[in-house]
Amino acid sequence: MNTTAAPTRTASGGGWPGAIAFEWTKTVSVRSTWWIIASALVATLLGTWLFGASALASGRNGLDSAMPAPYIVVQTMLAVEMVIVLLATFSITGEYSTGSIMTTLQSVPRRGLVLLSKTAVLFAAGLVLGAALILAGTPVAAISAAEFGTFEFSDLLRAIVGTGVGLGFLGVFVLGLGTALRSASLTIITTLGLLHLIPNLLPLFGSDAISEFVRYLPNQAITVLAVDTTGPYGWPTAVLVLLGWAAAGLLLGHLVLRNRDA
Amino acid sequence: MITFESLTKVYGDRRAVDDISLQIAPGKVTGFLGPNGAGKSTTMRMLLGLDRPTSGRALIDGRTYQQLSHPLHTVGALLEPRTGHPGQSARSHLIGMARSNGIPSRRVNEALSMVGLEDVAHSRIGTFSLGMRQRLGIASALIGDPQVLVFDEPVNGLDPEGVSWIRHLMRDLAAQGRTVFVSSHLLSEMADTADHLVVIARGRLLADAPLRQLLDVTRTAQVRSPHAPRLAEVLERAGMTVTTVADHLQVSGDGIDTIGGLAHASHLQIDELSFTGASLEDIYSQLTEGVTDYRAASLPHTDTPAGTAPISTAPTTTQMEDTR
Repeated sequence: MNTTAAPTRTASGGGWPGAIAFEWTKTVSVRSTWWIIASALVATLLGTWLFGASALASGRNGLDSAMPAPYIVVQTMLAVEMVIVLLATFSITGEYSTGSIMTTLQSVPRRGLVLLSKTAVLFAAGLVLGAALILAGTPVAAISAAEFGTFEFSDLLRAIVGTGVGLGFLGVFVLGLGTALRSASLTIITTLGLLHLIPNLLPLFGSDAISEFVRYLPNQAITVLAVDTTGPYGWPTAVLVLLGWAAAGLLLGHLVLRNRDA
Repeated sequence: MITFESLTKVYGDRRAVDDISLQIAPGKVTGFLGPNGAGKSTTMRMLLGLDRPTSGRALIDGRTYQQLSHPLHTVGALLEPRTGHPGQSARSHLIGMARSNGIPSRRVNEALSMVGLEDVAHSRIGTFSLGMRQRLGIASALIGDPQVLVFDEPVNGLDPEGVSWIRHLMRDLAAQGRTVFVSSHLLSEMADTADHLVVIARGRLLADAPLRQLLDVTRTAQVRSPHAPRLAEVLERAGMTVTTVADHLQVSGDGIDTIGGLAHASHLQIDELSFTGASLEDIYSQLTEGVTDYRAASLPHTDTPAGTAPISTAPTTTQMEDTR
């Protein structure tokens, strides 16, 4: 019946490289992406300068405030990590609020593949942004903290890799959450609660089990990963913890994306 | 070729699409007609894998949309004017789609010039007028050079020039042997464009027939003949409905060419033979009568000539044979 050429056409390309290229194109071609990144850079430089200056002032007053410059930058990351939270949130909730999810699912109808492509792009974005922001902030910290910010190359490497991997996993977790919630405000509020509110509220209960749980929240694990000090657990555990959060978020998102109408 | 097999979508206790079985053939424009809320968009969304059917299947060349490895090569769709992300330029929107399906990037330029958007290729979609967005949606649908095209209310928001452009485009695409499936709630649009009509209301299929045949079956012919009683007998034997009114016959159930042919074959003189009154609007109101709540307010009700036989007693589904 159908004598047209469609069935015999041999399409090449596409597949998962195509799906990733598609997500990448969307991310970099939307203006808000660059606003978010530019704001993050400004926040990193300003925050780092403040933390460095504070370390210098305290140090000169005789306090033990010396810290390797890259770790001073890591302190600002606990606020600047919003860059990846926002990118991950808008990567999926923006699709629903603008209706571009229809374009996405028409181009890549396998929903698991859509989520995996977004995962790849956001993990890469977190990795690169985390590393780049540490790299950009370190000279600022080194100057503003002066002799109280001296560091070894190994400190820099740890901060770069740790922050990059940490933000990568954080982005993937938020992507999964956003896919399940489909609302930017809900996703951001939930994430902020998990990153900042719960770690400060739960210890108030004074229960050991709860305080132990707080150590395994994303921000605590990112800190362990990015700073080489004696933490509650080592970096391999921190990687596993973050992997767990990312996987849980993705699983939740995948279940909703697969079963709910677009 | 599009196939619906007992396609059904239930939201709570509302049957948005109710057991629709249908084939949409290539090489013609098939109009998908129904009042607002009849289930047209839901049907199309299920066809494109956006919504999951409660039961039944929607297939393109025998496969579901999710089974297509390079869907944009197979199906092009314009679902609603919100195409792409408003923060993206028209060009990067199309480039993203092209990359996802391994389509060469020169197709992006071709598609943009095909719809006349090459001058605004680098402008953000958010700055576009509704008409420009519709054009971009058409470009998105055509980018993979697909054999099946699905348009949901494509002329919404277009100026007369744009409406005529889309009509010609749909005719051209069908003439190239493609399957063109286009929804509308306006009959007048379909009358000039469609070869075939599928009518639904309240999620149920009411008619699936060539436009011509729908017109012939439901319109009423006026026949004046000196041999009226004998002619009535002949026509009734051929399955038509005949009513005698004053000095003429009112005949429904077939086209005037058939009526004239039968009269000629029986050597019965005819003094007048013409179609009266009924229009596409009448077909529509007949088909949707009793099935839909939202009919009366939206449709201008022209006088239905007495003796017009309803082609279906709602809510029974009427499936007319395609005699093409």
